[in-house]
Amino acid sequence: MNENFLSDLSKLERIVSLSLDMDAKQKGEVLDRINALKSKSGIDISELIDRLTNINISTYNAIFDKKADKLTKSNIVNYVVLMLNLKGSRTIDNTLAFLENFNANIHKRSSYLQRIQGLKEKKGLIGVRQRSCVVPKKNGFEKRRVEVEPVFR
Amino acid sequence: MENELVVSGENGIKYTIKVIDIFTVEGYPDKEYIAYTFEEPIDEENIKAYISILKETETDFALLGISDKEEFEVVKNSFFNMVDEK
Repeated sequence: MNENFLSDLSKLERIVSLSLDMDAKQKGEVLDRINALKSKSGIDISELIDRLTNINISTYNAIFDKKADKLTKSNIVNYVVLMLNLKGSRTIDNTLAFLENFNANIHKRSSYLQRIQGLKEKKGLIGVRQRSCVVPKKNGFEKRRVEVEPVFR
Repeated sequence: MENELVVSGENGIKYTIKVIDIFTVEGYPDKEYIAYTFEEPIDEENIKAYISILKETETDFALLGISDKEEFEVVKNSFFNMVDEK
């Protein structure tokens, strides 16, 4: 089994563990299958497809309604990514990066909201003199914005 | 709104702020900063955002102005970097 494919399978394991679309049981099933693939000494495409299609997410089966021998290794990996309800246009690497980042942001946002909730329960004061800057209303703030002088409120 | 806080000014008037982020900055380990807006428009695309030092006790918190211009520069750049990453 080639190293790239093994590496992809390891990444898939991480993707599965980060996926928000599956419960613990589903994750366990997919991880078992990926594990089984990793332990095989050679790749039997038909068997791989059988194993992967055993996962009960029929929505994506039509996409790969091809003969098993026409599927490449990367197709199999992409198929698993699709089964995890991720966009097919993502590569395995940027899917993993997306999920890692998403997971980190979820954690960060949760901490941020908890922090604000804690402040809501306290009496807040604001000083007279505050410094400001200008930012776009939407995300994607740019650095070129002009800083304005300290203001009095 | 989950990111809104009510704060009192020294004139006794209550203001509602929308918190953009609460963060720390390298080089100022003992301070915590808060970025927020009053949703004051500058023009159609931009609003004014404020960055203050967040001082918190068990019962109160205060948004203190950053008096040191150099500190504000560092904090502002750190804030923009964080926002760019989002």
